[in-house]
Amino acid sequence: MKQENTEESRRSRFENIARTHEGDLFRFAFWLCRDHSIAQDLVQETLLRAWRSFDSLRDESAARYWLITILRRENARMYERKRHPTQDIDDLTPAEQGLLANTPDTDLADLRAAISKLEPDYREPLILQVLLGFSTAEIAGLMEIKQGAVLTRLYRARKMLMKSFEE
Amino acid sequence: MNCLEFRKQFGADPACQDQPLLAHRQACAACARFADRVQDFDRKLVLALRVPLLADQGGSYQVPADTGLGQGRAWIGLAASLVLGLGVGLLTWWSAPHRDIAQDLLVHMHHAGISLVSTDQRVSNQQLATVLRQSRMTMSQGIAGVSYARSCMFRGRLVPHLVVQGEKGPVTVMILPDLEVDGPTSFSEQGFFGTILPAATGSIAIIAGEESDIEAVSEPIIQSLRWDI
Repeated sequence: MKQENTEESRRSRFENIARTHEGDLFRFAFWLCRDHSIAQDLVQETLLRAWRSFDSLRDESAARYWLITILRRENARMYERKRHPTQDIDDLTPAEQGLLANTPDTDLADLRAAISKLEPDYREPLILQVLLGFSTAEIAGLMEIKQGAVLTRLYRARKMLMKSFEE
Repeated sequence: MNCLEFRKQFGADPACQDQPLLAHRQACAACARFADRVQDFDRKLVLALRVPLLADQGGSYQVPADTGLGQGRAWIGLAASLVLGLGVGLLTWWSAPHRDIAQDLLVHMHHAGISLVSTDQRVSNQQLATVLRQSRMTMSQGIAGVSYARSCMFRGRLVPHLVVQGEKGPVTVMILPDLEVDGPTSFSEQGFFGTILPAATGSIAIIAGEESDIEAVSEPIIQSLRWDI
């Protein structure tokens, strides 16, 4: 009985975490691969892998960092396995175009298109900072690069976007 | 710090609260305009990056019923329970009456025992900014007397939990994005006084041992806090 309660509590804690971060994970996955179906697969794989290693999460307030780490690794694995072709913004399916342009605000749609065209090296730290609220030190840890390199990429990413958006 | 250094640093991290950065912004009108422009642009960036979740997106992930390892993808087929259906429960839970919110706040406050401690220890503005950023908020200026700042799970959401050392003791501040209240709500329970104030798209709950500390602590927070979403 005690073991069942423990298992139930473990499941409940995981469900809570999954529910809290599911939206962020999907959005991060979408901006990584710019493909709705792959993003869904990626989140599914991430949560399954996270569940299997849930006992390794010591501090549940760090769950988002932990999940994003898993998602990044899973993305690298999927990329290696399937070698997804890079999606050109102009070749997006109607569903993906819908995701990017699902707003009456044309400025917002243009900005989404501009973000999508950024090189992944610039797009990823920007998403981690602006969308997910990670500090530059945390981004450096996630991307396994120096904090200085993160700052440079963030500066350049904003500069490119502001230039293309404000032109 | 010169203008070029300011623009590089601010352009990379507009939420940075480093003192030299803030000082340069105050001293240089051109860089202050640049900073305003970057922050305006960042608000648009947040909106742009928050692509809508599709109808089949929310609550579609499943936790396996079996915890065994090494069963390969077969165990995915055993998946059961998780999120589907819980979304409704969560919504109900999150939008429960204010009195329940007050009780939940007190439970959380007691659970995180640090909320009850008077201390000279202070967290840096950088640390505070990091916690706020995790909930997509920023401060326009530092908040004095913060002895504890951490992102905590409250009602299934990650929310900033701060403790500010007031004149008469520690004051707990929980910033609750998305938990909207119609107007200010006060409560007094278990020897604590509290108030829940509407703010932007959510609310701010402030709980103290002495009523007089609440207003003194809430004012600078309300003034400084910026809800980026």
